[in-house]
Amino acid sequence: MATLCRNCGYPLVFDPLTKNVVCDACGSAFRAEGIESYDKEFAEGPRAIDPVTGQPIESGAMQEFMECHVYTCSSCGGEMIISGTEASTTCIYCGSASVIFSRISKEKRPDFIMPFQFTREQATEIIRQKCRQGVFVPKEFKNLQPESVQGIYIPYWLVDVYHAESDVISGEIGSGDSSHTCYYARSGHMKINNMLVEASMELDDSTSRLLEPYDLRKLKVFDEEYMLGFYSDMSDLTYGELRKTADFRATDVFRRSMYKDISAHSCRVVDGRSATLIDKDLKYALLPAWFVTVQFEGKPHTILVNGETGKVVCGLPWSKKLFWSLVGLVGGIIALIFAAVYFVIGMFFTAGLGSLAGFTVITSFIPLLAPVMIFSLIFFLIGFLFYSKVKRQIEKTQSADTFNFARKRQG
Amino acid sequence: MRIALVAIISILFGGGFGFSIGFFIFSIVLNSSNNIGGKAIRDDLWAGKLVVMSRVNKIKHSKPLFDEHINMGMRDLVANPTYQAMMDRSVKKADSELVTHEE
Repeated sequence: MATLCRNCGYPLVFDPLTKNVVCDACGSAFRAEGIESYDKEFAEGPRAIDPVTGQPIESGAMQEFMECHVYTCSSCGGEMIISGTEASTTCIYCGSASVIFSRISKEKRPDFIMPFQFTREQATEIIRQKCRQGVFVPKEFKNLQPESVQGIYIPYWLVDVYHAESDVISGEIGSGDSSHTCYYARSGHMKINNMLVEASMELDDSTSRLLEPYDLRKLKVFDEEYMLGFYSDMSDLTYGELRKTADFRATDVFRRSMYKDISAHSCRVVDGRSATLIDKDLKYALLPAWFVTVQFEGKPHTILVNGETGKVVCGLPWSKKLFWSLVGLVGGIIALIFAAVYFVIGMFFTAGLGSLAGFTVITSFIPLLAPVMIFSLIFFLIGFLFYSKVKRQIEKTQSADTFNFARKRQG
Repeated sequence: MRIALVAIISILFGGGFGFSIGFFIFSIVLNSSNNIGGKAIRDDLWAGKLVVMSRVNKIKHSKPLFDEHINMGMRDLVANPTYQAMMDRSVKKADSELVTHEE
């Protein structure tokens, strides 16, 4: 967005540190709410409701539509969205400065925006620190300098949901041999306020969910000036997707609460019916996140940082050689110790048997080691669970969806 | 023969146990160092209070009985004035429409 400095005409950007709109050329600073873009239209109407207090917010800066221009680069055909004040810009795909406007699109105006709480430099430092902390992160990745960290406002719908459900739930009572399954019938309802539903179809829901939570008390009434210097996406969510996500999250919350009402463990719904109703008073908000894509060993790794809390979301690449060497080394030492102990025990227990009674040796010694076998299996399975979690997170970081989402916003 | 057998069994079991422990330890270390922000928050942050309308404990395992309890519970929920009020206020747009502020 090109809102120009009223002192020198240079484009202004929003500074998360001072929460002002600043001019990098002459150093002027303005309050974000006090700036008026050339194309900003004001319309009275306190339609926005404070998501925390539920009270209407009095503001003159309300308008139903936000104007933005969608244009195509004459050089590479890449599609870009900018504000109406920009006549030309650098294409994010090919770097070309020549752009021809092709069409104008009107998008719905958000109700709220959460300004970035820290700067690009701080985000870069947070990412660098996380990379350095990783024990198995390859040295080359640790030393990478994350460049072109992009601030992106992700669109969210804040929805009030009413969930009613009637279930039969199974639960285990007792433990060990005395454990048995009981069945419980429960019905109830729950009202959930300001459930976040991510509204960009391009960004994977499971990825954006990891960025949460956001402190909704930091939401401001939407003003274009907060977007200066950042990319923003608009909602392209359908009601079908909204219902699906709201139902999924509400059901999850409802059931976890319901399980607490049952004095049994390992509860799960055996059968049930439910209804999720979404209040039509939907609130539209833009929430901040920093994105950076780092190419490593030919694969893109997209790292996300919550623009409010600084929570980093990524699966860092790992040195398989180092991991398996350490597993082998430590495992080998433990194996040697335990093999020696077993050998001594084995010799002691089979001392009375003849030297050729191989079968007797096996049948008398192996049962002694059965608990060892069970423990080995348990440790291996738990280890495998953690190992799989890391693999899944790395796959997400390398996923084409997240990469494509971020790539379009990186020059 | 006895010594050889005991030695082989000890090496096999010791090796298996050692590898499992090593894999367990370093998988945890790997998860804590390389899986950053991989845990989704619990939605309870914005969850409201659960209102339980009906409770029946230790029912028999029978499909018709399950259905009866579920249908009865759902009937009560739908008849609830809160549900009716929410129904009036709820979004009724077609699934294929893009989400916008309702007028």
